[in-house]
Amino acid sequence: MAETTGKIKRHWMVHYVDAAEPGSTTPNYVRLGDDLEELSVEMNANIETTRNILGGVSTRLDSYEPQASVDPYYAEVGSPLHTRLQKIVDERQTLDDLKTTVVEVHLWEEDEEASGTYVAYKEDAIIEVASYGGDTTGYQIPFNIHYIGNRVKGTFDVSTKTFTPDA
Amino acid sequence: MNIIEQVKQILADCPLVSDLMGATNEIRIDFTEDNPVSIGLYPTGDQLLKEDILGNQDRQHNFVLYAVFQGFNDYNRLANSTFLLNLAYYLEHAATGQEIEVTIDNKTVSGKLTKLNSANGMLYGYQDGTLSGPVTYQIQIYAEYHIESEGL
Repeated sequence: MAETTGKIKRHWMVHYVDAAEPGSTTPNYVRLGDDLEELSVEMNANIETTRNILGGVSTRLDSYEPQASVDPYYAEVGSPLHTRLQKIVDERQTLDDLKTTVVEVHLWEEDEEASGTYVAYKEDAIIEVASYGGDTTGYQIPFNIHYIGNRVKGTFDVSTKTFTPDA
Repeated sequence: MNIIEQVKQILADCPLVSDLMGATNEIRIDFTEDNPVSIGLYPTGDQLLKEDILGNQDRQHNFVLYAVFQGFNDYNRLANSTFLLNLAYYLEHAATGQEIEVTIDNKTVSGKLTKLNSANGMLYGYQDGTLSGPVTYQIQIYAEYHIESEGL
């Protein structure tokens, strides 16, 4: 790992999505980012603001509906993520067939006891294929990831691509 | 092989070029002979097109290819312009992911050629000030390539 001081480079915040088939016991994490000049997780906080009788404002934030848009995504033969997305398209999958997990890895927070292992957060998610086709630059399947909770802190080994929840 | 060497190699392998130049001639870098037929490839700079969030880069290297031909009559000049037209067509399909090496800050990373295209193929100048002598044609070539972030 390079120096971990100062401003954090964008590629140190890593997003993985599990491309394994639903129901599979072994996750197959694929790193997102190829061809993406930007990838942001929109928090979509639910905020209620009320004005009280004293003239003040009361603001309550009670939940989030995080969502990320992966656009463009260029389909690549042999990529497990492409296989998963293509199956969603071909079979018009819905409901639990769209479930997956995502892991966010902090490459600037390396585990002191295990080299190559970093602080990470895993969360359940739903894959929504937004469209497929695209222009002449290549076959594209842009998709959205909806984070649905069950967020767990742990560590992620980037060489084996395995997540281990904290005890 | 860096991007300049790779583009030179693609041009050297192009049947249009080899048929024109024969076996003894070669494409020169930043140089053309005064007499026809001579072809020189002039690199004119490199630029970053975009960078993804992993640090992978799409870059473009620009070239001008100068070719010294005979341009005495319409037959010659039509042949010369047709050569540039056919070369432009050829280049559009010549990028097939050829491997290239990029060295940045003493770190060598691999990349691949993704696209070749061209523009402004035209008569550029007269060697002797008239059409009776050799004339120089030019075509600008743009080589797009992708390099992986590993090691950057």
